[in-house]
Amino acid sequence: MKGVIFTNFLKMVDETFSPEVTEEIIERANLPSGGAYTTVGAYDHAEILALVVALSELTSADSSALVRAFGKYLFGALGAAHPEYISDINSSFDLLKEVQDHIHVEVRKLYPDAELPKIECVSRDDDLTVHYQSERPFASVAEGLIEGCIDHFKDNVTVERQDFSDDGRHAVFVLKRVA
Amino acid sequence: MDSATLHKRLERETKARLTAERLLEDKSRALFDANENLRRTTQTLEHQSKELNAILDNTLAGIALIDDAGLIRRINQALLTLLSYTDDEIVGTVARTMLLGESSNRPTPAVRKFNGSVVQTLDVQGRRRNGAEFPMSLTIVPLAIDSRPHTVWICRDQTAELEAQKNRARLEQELAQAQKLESLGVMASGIAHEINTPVQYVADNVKFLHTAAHDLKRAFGAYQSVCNSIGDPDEASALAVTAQSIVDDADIHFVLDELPEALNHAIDGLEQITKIVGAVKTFAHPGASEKTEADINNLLRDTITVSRNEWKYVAELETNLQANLPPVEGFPQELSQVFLNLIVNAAQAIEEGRSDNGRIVVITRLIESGVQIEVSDNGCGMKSDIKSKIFDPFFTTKGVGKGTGQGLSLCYNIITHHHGGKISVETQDGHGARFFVNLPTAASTRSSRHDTNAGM
Repeated sequence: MKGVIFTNFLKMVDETFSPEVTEEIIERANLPSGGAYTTVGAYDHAEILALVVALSELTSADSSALVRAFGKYLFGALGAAHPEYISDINSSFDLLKEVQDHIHVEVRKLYPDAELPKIECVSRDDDLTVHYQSERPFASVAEGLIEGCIDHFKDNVTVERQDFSDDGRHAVFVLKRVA
Repeated sequence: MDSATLHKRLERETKARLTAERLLEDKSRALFDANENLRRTTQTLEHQSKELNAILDNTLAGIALIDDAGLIRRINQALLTLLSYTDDEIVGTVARTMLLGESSNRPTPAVRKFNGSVVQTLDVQGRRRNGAEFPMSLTIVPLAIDSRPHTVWICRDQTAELEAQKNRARLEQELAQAQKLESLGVMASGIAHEINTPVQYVADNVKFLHTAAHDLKRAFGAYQSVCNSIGDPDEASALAVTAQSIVDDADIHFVLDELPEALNHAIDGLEQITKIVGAVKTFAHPGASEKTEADINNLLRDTITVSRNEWKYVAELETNLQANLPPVEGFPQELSQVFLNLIVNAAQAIEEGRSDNGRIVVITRLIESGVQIEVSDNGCGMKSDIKSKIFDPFFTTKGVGKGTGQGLSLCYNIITHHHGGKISVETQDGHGARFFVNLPTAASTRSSRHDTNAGM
């Protein structure tokens, strides 16, 4: 998993909780990398799961809620780092439809070995169905990213999640515009 | 942030920075290696491209790559020279500009015929930049580039080849004529003998007619004198006795009985001579330069007549010619030469086999693929090693002066190359031989020619 996910996660913990909490969960998680992440590196995704578990234990917050919150935070961070991908887009539906065939293609140019989830969008009238499938259990991160996206465009859209696996590797998000 | 946290963070950030620097170095090295590989690959590709261009431009055949829109993408120097274009003038234009009569937007017939999946070679008319036309052999090879259908056109100017073919055909015709005249030369004494027999009895009968005419004239004169002296009974009576004496001396009754038969014999003889001379004339004719419809049975009858003296002393010749045989399109003189060679060979095989009951059988029949001519004999036959060589040029088993080894080779050439037919033999050593000549009918030849033209 790309280092940018880890650095942003630690940044979120810094900002939401405190640097001390960040250091504490790093120690508790007993990470092979020691938490010395760099955005251009790649790390075992189990480390982020360990960090989430440690954070959940330390703060007594629900781990799913933490992951979803991280997804939302991550959207903001990535959007700020790469405004060129969202500046010409007017809605969350349009951006989500760009993910698989445009944004992921650009990511692969920088990181040819990146293992990206498969995102398929089917739009119908005022609905957009987003199919998420990944080798990693991060459907909640995806949910957070979608919510972050909706918030960014200030769209009046509801999100309904349907899990197709117990481990968060396959889920469908039904987005409906609200009048 | 307390100092302990700050210290941990500094330590972590330092470690992360070192990791990032190492990654950057790895990436830089990988980038350098990739660049090197790319440079080497580019050099290799450029070199290969130069080699391919050199091969392409120095090959004698004109080659062009045509895309799925029918446009010329690439063309070699040989084709540019052939068509008198420059690369800039023709690349990107429609491929059919190379073909005559295809300046409109209609699909090229040759290309329309091309079904896109197999290699095809077509005879077309090429067109040069100045509009001049020339015969061109066009081979279209289908291929896919980036999953899009393309074709490679391989073009050859056929002008020189067609000219060579014409020369070859003319030489072959001259050779056939020479051989025919050689055959006639060999058979000349036989033919003279054949003519001499009817000439003899025509002459005998004409002599008889001459004498008979003289006797009849005398008898008629005597009776005329009797008629003129009818007024003087004594003179008339004396003249009548003289007239009767002349009639008796000349045996006029016999003369009158024999006259019709003598005339018939003379006419028969003259007809036989006419037939022989006609057959020789037909046989010796240089032949048409264009194919005509030939009656195989008539050709065989003439050939049998001409060659009679070659076989009549060694064999009986039996014919079984199917009536109403459809005509064959071809060169009648060449076919006559083939039949003559087969009959004379049969006679020589019988002579060599020293058979007392020599027999040659000539049969014609209609078969599925056309007309079949069978010439069989009960002569010496052939061993299998000889059988496999008999159609080779200059192969002969005959003694010096008896055969040039061109006979059956010429037959093979005439039947297969000039008439699209087949010639084969069944034989066993000591048990005769049976030659089969299969020829397509004129109707089927026309039909296949029509199909070919329609395809273009």
